[in-house]
Amino acid sequence: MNSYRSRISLFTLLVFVFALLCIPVAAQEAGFSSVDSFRVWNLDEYEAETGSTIATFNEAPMLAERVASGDLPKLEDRLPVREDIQVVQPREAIGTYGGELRYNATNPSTFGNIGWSAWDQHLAGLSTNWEVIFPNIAKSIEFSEDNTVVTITLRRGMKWSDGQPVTSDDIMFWYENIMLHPELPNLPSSYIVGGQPAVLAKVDENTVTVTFATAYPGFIEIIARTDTGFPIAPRHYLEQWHIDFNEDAQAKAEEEGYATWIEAFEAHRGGQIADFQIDPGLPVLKPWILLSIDEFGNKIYERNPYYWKVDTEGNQLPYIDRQIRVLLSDLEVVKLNIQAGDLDYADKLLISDLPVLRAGEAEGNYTALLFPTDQGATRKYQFNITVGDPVLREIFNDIRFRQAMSLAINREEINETLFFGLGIPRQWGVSTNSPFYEDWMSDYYAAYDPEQANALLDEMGLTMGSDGIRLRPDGQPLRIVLWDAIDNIRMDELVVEYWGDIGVATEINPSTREAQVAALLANEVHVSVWFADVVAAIDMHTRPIWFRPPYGLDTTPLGGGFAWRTWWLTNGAEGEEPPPYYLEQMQLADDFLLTSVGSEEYFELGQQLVNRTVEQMMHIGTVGEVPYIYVRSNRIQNFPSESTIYIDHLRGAHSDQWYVTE
Amino acid sequence: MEINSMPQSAVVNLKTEPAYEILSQRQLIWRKFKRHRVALLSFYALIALYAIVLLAEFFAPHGAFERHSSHLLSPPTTIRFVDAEGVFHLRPFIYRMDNELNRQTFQREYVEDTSEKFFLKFFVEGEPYKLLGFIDSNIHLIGVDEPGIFLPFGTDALGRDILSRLLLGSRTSLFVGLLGLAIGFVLGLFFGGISGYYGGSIDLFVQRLTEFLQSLPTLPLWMALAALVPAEWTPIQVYFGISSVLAIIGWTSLARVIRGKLISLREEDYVMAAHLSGVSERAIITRHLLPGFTSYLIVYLTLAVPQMILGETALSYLGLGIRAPAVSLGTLLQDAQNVQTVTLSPWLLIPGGMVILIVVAFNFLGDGLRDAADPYRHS
Repeated sequence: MNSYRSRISLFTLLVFVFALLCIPVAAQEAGFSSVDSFRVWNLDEYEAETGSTIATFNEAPMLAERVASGDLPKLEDRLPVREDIQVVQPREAIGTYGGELRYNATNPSTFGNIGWSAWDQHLAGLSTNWEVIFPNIAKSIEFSEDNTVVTITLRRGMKWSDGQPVTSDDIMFWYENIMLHPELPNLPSSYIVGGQPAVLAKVDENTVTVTFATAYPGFIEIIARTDTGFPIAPRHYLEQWHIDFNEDAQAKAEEEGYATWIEAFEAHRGGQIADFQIDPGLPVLKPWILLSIDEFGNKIYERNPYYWKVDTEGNQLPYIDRQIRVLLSDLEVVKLNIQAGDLDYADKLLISDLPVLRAGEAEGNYTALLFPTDQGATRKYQFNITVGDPVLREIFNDIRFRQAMSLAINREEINETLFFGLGIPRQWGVSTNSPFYEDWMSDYYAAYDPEQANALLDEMGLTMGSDGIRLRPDGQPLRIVLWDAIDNIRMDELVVEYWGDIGVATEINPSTREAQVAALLANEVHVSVWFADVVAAIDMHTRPIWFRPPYGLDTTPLGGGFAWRTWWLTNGAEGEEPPPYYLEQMQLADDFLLTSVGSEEYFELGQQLVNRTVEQMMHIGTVGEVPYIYVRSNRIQNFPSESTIYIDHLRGAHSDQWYVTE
Repeated sequence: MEINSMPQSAVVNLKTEPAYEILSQRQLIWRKFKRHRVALLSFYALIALYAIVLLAEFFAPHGAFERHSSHLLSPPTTIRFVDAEGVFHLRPFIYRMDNELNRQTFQREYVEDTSEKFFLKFFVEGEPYKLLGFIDSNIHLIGVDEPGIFLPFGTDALGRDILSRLLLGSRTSLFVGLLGLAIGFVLGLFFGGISGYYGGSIDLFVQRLTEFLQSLPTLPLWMALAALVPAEWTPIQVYFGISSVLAIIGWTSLARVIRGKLISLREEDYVMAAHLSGVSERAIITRHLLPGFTSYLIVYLTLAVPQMILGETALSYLGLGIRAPAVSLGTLLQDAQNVQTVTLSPWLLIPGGMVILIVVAFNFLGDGLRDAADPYRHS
């Protein structure tokens, strides 16, 4: 039995631990190194490991009042069974109760605003720097020896935020009545392995098994992250909108103003993960519950009296009474709010905002933190290898062209001009923190060498015209259009200038995402610029989007080859068969997904995948490992330090153990 | 010339000709217009501005896209007459600005290097350009010798001279809108004219067309148009395309007013008299009817120009107008709409002053022209 009850490291530090995954590893034995002292245990393990006892449990004064007035059960009755309570060792110190936090969100349903990611709860959790995956909502997650059967055990006596018990029926409700229901969303693709969907079965009140057709050790990462569904739902609450449980569900939906029961059901279920919840009545397992949404769309959250974690002194978490998600669509307004001290933590800021943020620090009583990132590039330029224009298609598919375009870029200057020299001028790829990083990658065609770039283009037969614009094989001037839907104009202007210097006339087309996606699907886009995240090891192991055609999300096929991807996903029923090289690449990416983290194949296939993609020059990076700015009020304590690596929105920040000092 | 010398010639004429003179409508308008000092000043200022922006590459000290990578976000260069030692120089000069990035505040701190003076010169060689699109040159009106850098309005985040960009941007803003405006004006005159003059079924048709076009909501229309625009169009082509389409749809309000004016004017006795005298319809419209509401047309036009300029900024907001990297007053201002500009680099707001100047000048010009052209107004 290969146990995840204990902590398992994910990064290179513990690479060898992975090789030994068949042996149960206890955290203390593994001696994992964490960036800070944030730790979690189940209470019985905590007491056994440390020898200390948690004699009594304490609660926030606002809850104590409600208990005294009789509208809330006693704390002991609200927490799970004693041994099953999760004990959290706070990052710096035991906190004090009270206070509220305000954070920003761009629009009502945007992903990527980090407020919530610091407090979202999943079956498994992540330590600060994602060194460790630990059981979170689940008390334990155990993999069978062959990694095909996963046994999930829930915490006994754990309760939803309305006081109702959490049982395996809630998982089965998600599986049988939502995922398997023909009219509701299908099982996410991360639950389909080897062409077969996972099969869930109830063992007892607290235990469920998940069975896969083939070994799937990567499942542990899937249930630690938001992107791929939240496999548990409060049946007792949601069944009133479900047609299987309520014959009048359709009438009820119409009464509430929805067209179908499905719409109503999905609306009430929405926001189980992230903070998109719109029904304040939906029971959750998060530290704060949605109290109300005001007329401006701001959401007010208040502590969950049934939250199932305590600190090492027995104080029920969270420490902070309220969180307020403030809707601010304009980044300038966000900055003004930060400067005025009206936001307690904020992100989505740009490096160019640093002077303004630093200038307001004293007055706004906040700190602009710079987190190292796990990205080999901040932005990258991608040529569409299946562009509709046949002449351009031939040019873009010639690797010498992509090499030349990369050599033409003066990365040093971009770094100094746009990033205050804070980044590293380098080629796109995985970061130096990644186990798949090799030294040649940063420098791969990343030197500023217009001469060689010109030589490569000359060699391709793209002769220079008299007006300084090269000629395509058909005699037309080589003019291309760069699509930018991510407001990266300043860097584009520099890149376009460099490209113009070697005779490739480039026009910037600042566009909207919708317009660009439409043009991509029609294969009209020549080259585009996009974000370059999802390259951290754990990220690419769940979503290798940059490493296989269409070298982007299926919904944003930046690199082209969308028809190939369709062909692949439909087993050849639709789309176009990819050329052998790209077919191999897709097979490689899929094989990599099935490997066990830390296994020999994991490293071998991962390395191959990364090497091949970098060598293809499908992505041209400019500056990488640029710090991510995170603003936090000096009132907040137990906040991650600047040595925290920024991966996917500080999911390891754990705001339930933050506290505020006035 | 002829007009300015009028008083003298009138004196001369007193001796040889009868003691009166016949002034054409145009001369009358000019005489009245001259009395409106502010309008006259605006008029000359706008002519000068149009001339300067046409030759922007020559008047600008640098190229609009020329980057001074050692002078990112530089404040304007101070033009001096008195040097660091307190010595007065008749010829203006500048000091070179050196900068260092403060790693704590992340601001570039500029300090003047007073060791060497760079005197301002006329006709300095610099970035090569093509004047009016065909004259090769590299002479700029004002500048300093290397390694001095003359940045009278400072630079933006990429180290590009704001004054140079301002001049080039003004050209875009002052001309691109005019073309769309001209299309709308001609259409408005034509449809309003035939509708009002002929009446009957033509009037019926034109009026229904007008109503139909007026009922189209503009915002969704712009969005639909933006989606239709071919990707390979340059931002300026896009803007011109959209403003033309807007003009093709937007002539309706002008046509309505012209129709109304015509309907009232065509019943006048003098029009009837012209008819009876066998004057052609074309002549009646152009000689007898049009002058009756020239003042309205002039005001419409002069006020529409600044509207076009302001409209360009608004369109840029929606992502439908001119977009960076193209330079226009709108995109320059967009670049300045942030906290950073207001608190740390206010010189990026200078293009805002330019917009105000242009709009105010056009408004005064329109004001003066209306007073001058209105035949019923006597001062």
